[in-house]
Amino acid sequence: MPSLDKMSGTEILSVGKKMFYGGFAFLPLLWLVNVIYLWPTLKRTDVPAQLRRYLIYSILGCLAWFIITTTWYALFVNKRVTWGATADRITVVIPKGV
Amino acid sequence: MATAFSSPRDEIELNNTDPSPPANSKCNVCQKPASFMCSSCGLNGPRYCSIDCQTQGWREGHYRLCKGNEQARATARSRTPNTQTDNTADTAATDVDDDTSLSRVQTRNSGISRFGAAQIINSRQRRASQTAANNQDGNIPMVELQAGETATDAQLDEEEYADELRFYIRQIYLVIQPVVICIILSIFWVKVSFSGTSDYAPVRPSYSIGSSSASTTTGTSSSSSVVSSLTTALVIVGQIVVVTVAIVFFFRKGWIKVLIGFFMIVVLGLLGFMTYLLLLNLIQVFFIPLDYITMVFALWNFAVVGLISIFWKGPLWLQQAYLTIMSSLMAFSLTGLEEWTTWMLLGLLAIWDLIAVLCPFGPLRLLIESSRTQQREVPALLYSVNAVWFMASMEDHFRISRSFLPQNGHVIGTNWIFGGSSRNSSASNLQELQAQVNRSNAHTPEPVADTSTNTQFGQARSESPEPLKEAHTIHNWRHSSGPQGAVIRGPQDGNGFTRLRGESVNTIEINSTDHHLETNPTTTLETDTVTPNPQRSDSDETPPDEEDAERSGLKLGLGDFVFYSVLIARAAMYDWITTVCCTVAVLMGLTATIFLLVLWKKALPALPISIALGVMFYFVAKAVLVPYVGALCVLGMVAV
Repeated sequence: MPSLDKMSGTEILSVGKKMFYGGFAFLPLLWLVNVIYLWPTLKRTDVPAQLRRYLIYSILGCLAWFIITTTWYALFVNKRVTWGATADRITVVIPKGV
Repeated sequence: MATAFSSPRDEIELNNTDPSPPANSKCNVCQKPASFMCSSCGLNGPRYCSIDCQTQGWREGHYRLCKGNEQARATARSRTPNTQTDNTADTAATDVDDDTSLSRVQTRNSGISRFGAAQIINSRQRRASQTAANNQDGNIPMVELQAGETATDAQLDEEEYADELRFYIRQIYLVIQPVVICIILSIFWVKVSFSGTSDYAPVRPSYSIGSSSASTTTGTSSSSSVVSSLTTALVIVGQIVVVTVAIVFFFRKGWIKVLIGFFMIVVLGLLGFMTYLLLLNLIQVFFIPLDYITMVFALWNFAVVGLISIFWKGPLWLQQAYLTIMSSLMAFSLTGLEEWTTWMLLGLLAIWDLIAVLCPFGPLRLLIESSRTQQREVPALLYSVNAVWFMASMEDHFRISRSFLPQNGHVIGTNWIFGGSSRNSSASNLQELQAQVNRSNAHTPEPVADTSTNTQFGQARSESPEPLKEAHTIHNWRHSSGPQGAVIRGPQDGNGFTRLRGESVNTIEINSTDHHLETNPTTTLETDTVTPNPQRSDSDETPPDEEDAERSGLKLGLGDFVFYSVLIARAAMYDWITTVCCTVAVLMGLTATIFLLVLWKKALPALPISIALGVMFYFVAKAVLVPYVGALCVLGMVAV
């Protein structure tokens, strides 16, 4: 696995692009990895400028997913008891005693 | 479960007779009229009639004297470059110089291992005293000159030596760290899921065959249960053997894609299903309310990103984290086995590991050999350590050595793969290496493919319009190649500089290298290879794959991670005392294996020593320590 230092700017861009589009398959974690992985290369001169755009979109998508999932989870945790049987049906393991 | 250990190549000390300073315009090597000189040393430096002679002169020891090198060293130490010998002193210096360097050759050739600190120091002292003795015969300015030289020389050696030591220590640390993390994770999983509050603790898988399945359920130490647990262990080991043999088979057939597909399925299964099982334990024990939507979403992300980063691209730390977690998951999935099954399994695996790695027809060994002959990389599940090291520092090394490494091309496998069947790919011993050298000498087509570094080096020279500049790079490189730059030294790299470069590089033996230095096979190999493929030189410009450098370092198959963890997880199911004892024992075994690795310089199975120690410690602790501590507590001798 070649390291980023050895890859040319266009290769890095294609990696960023692929990771960005791959992230649409409900993979915000991939977006996060994309950003963490490729952000340091933005300093390089031979990396095309579009990369920054892809990375920023990745951040945004990741944030959006983060908000969605946390909201959903907060809702679920707080409303689980009041939702009753429906909530129980989608609960993985029903906590004992709660 | 197999290991891949490989120690980075030892630096070859080419302490040759220093070429005498310029005998005006005669070639220093062949004494013909010379028309070239070393660009770094300028007028005071040696002269050469041709590039080939310069190459040889460099190899024979000019690199040690060269000013370019001196400066590189000096700047590396942020010291002012010390002045070379003056022209006036040259003729007088030659004699003394020759003597000392000869003695150096002798002492070095006696085979200094990297860890033979005492030897090195001794030889240094000897050398120093000899020079001192020699100097007494010389005239006064010469004495000073020589003393200064040897002092700096010794200092340089000390520094290099310290560098190497640091390199090894770091390597060991880098390999032990993930092992410890994996072990701790496994202990955690076991402690959580067997804490009694979980309904989802792994149950024993139904490996047992036919009639014995009934007896597995009946408890303790009846003979039938021993038989059944033995059968279970045998079945598991049999599966591992089959998988290993299948991998070797596929590899020899060249069906790499099949292998990668297989590994991907295994990884996906582990990351997906085993994480799911573990999650069930965790959320129940910690009373986490979790809905299926979130869980499926999280699992999907976790598994797919893991797959992508392991097999395609991702930050190195992420890959390592995934591999470590995967190993601990694998170990967790094996905790469902019965106690005696586990012990038998571990014992059988240790034996299998020994057979597979060390026997002449062991599958792992065959794998290594065929990968070398086919010049293809083994897609193995290896935790290789060096990438970290390289990323952490030494960009200089990269830059400089890059121009000497041929393009590795597209990497077939990953460094990391999984494995009950993972194997060390990094093994070879002296005989193998020599056999390789001989073989490539014998078959003329082969050397073309096996371009050694020296070859590269020679080519670079022979085709560069400006040999002097080349020489300079080489100086820098020679110097800056600390421990890992050693990638490119010595004849043995003849095979190393193929796809499998990393592997053979890792296992170079100093002694053999030293022997080879002056002997003909190496030079013939080099010349053989230099001539037939001039087209290789353009690959000098292309940056190599990082694999080249990455793979010179300790490597540990993920299988080793797994079975260390299995052992300790089993110990953790009994008591904390046994847990800690086994952890210490396993790490001790690992360190001992690394030590042996450094001594023997060939691939070693990592399991046997660790497993033996671990099992021994487990039973000793269980039989002695636990009741002892218990009794102490009861008697109130220990404040609990």
